[in-house]
Parts: sequence; structure tokens; C-alpha cells
Amino acid sequence: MAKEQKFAPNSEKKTSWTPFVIIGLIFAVTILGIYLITQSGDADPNSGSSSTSSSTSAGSSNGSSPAETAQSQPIANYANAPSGATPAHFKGSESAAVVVEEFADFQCPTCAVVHPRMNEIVSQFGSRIRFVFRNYPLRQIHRNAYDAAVAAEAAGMQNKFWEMQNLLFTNQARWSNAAQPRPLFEEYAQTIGLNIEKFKDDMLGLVAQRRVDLDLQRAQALNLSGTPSILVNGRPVNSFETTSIAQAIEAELARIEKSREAAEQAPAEGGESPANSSDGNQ
Amino acid sequence: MNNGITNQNEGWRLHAAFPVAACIAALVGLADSAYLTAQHYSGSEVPCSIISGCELVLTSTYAEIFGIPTALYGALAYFAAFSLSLLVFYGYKYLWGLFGLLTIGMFAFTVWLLYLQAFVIQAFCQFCLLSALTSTILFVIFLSSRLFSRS
Repeated sequence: MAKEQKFAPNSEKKTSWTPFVIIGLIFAVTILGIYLITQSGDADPNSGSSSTSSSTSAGSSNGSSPAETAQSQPIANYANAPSGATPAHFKGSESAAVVVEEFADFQCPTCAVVHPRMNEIVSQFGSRIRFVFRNYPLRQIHRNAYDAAVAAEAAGMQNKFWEMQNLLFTNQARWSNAAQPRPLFEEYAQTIGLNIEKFKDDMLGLVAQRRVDLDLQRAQALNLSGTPSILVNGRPVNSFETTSIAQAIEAELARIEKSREAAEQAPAEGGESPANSSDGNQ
Repeated sequence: MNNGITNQNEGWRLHAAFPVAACIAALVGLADSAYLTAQHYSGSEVPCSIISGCELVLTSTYAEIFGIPTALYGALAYFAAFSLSLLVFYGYKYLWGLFGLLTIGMFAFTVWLLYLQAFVIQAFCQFCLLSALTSTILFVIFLSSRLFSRS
């Protein structure tokens, strides 16, 4: 009883409708707020144009749920899209049946977080995959992203692409908002032992830029909605957790193994080649 | 319905702080989760400037449960917590127990979400941490009220 008394409210405050009016108001304000934010958000982003989208919209194009993980459908024009910069920067086995392609923006914070995870994936799967890195600088929202991509390509011209890629991601916070990022890129070039004069020339030259542009063309043709975008034989992985990416790769490996077994069991009809030929074309 | 209206007591002024504090914390949590819900549906960029990897959390598989944004569950829970604590303040004292059950559920959910961020997604989101803080505050308010009433 004593306990109840302690919680007994003030009867003077008992205005029967007041709390319900307040609750109704709060409800209305919340709904209105959600509506207004949703409307303002709908006005700007991607109505099909990938280059203007932000990193948070990655994996949610066409209203698809970010909860989709393992095996999504391959992107329709994956096989016919421009090939991107050739030869591509890759790790793993060149002839692996599973190609994991990451489209990333060096200035995108999520890409920096995903970077060590992709390294983990590469170590985990080794020669069972071919990990390809593609530049997808979102210039509209990341002012230094394009220059960073060119810096990575310029380093690649001295066979130090991966070293520069690593430095750019790990030092992202340092150069992202710099008014002049190039001196910082030159500092990284020195750190990894590049010929600095050649690096400067290559930064200004057309070859490195052309490679970035080719990757961009591929990303845009694939209609990727943001960065990072990770494709496993053309199937988007819509979660960036290491386990989800690994699961998507495992699923693709299993699918290929299954089709290979099926091809081996079936009578040889016209000598159709198994597994590899079907990759990315479905 | 009359049983929500009880006698006045000198102890009330002190204890009124509990539902009032709960109202404030629930409103903060409601604003936070409603904002995240709106951003989820609009697909626009959430300003994740404080903690790197915030986007990672907001686009993870756990950003939705059964096809509904996790933030929306939070918004509903905070709205319920606000409504209950306000009603308690206005005399519907018996709803405090229901409020307590809600805060226990919210706190358990918070612990699970924190675990996911720390060990599964391996990234934190400042908006999610704010929500974790407000739901923890609600839980602490309820616990304190029980402890206080015993003394």
C-alpha cells in the first residue's frame, strides 16, 4: 500500500484529455517529420543515375532490401558492360571461376571500413577467387575521390597499386578534406618507394586518368547505385559484413561446383564446356 | 478507468521525476529513431561524420527485420514508452508496470544490437548508440523507481 501511495499521482494534474492530446500531437509531429524527410530525400537521389548517389544507397537500388545477402540475381547486362580498365588490378587467381569485383571510392568512409574486410576475404579464399578492384569515385559528393583514384592508378604504373590503395584507405581521414590532396598523395608515393617524379608525371598524364574513366564507365553501365558495390560473378552482395561476402562467394562456388558435376554426369552432347563458360552470363 | 486516479501523496513530487525523465528520454529516442526511419525510406545519405562505418551499420542485413526497418521498431517502442510515461504522470499509475516491461524488452534489444555492432558488423553508428543510450536511460529510470519505492 505504501508503495502504491508513493506513486500516487497528483489529482490536480488529472486532466483527462490532456495526455491524449499531447500523445496525439507527438504522433502527428513524428509522422509529419518522417514524411517531410522522406520527401526531401526522394527529391535528390538517384532516379536511375548512379553517379549522384551516395554510399548509403549502395545495395538498395530498385528499392531492394539491404537484408538480401547470399545469392541475388546477377546484374542484367553484366556480361555486356564495358570491361573497365584493362588489365584490371586483381588479387587471387587470374583463372578463378569466381570473380569478386569491388567498385570503391577512396573517399567513401564505408569503403575504408570494407577495405580490411576485402583483404580478409582475399586471404580466406586465396586462389579460389579473382578479386578485382575498380575505381568508382563519386565526384559529386567526394571532391578528392577522383584525384585519389588517379593517384592509385599512377602508383599502379610503377606496380605499387595495392600499396597505394592501402595507404589511401588507411589515411582517408587525413586527405579527404584537404584543399590540396596531391602533396599528401606524393608523400604516400614516397612512403611506398615510388619514383616521385614519374608519379607526379603520371598523376598529370592521361593514362592513369583514362583507367579511372574506364572503370567509371563500367560502374555506370552496370547502374551501380553507390559505393562500395561488390559483385560476385555479377551478383550484387548487398551486405558488407565479412561473413555475408564470404557466404555469397561460398554460394557461388557451390553453384559452380554443382553445375560442373551436372555437366560431368550428363552425356557429352556437343562438348559443351562446364562451369566457367556460364559465369556471369546468367 | 477510475483506478488510474489515486490519492495525492507528499511523496509524489519527488517521484514525478521518473515519468517526466522517462518522457524526455523517450522523446529523444523517438526523434532519433524516427529520423533513421525516414532516412531509411528516403534512401538518402545519413551524415555519419563522427564514427567511421556508420553507413555500414545502416545498410547491414540488420537494418531491417522482417522487411521493416529496425529503426521503425525503435520509433514505435519509444512512442509507446513516451505515451505510457505521460499517462503515468497524468494519473494512470498502473501503467508504470507496463512501461517497465517495455523498457526491459527495449534494453534487451539494445544489448543485442550493441553486440551485433561490436562483433558481427564490426562498426558502430552514432545514431544507434544514441538510441542505445536513451533505451538504457529508460531502463535505469524504471529500475531506480522500483528501488526508490522500496526504500
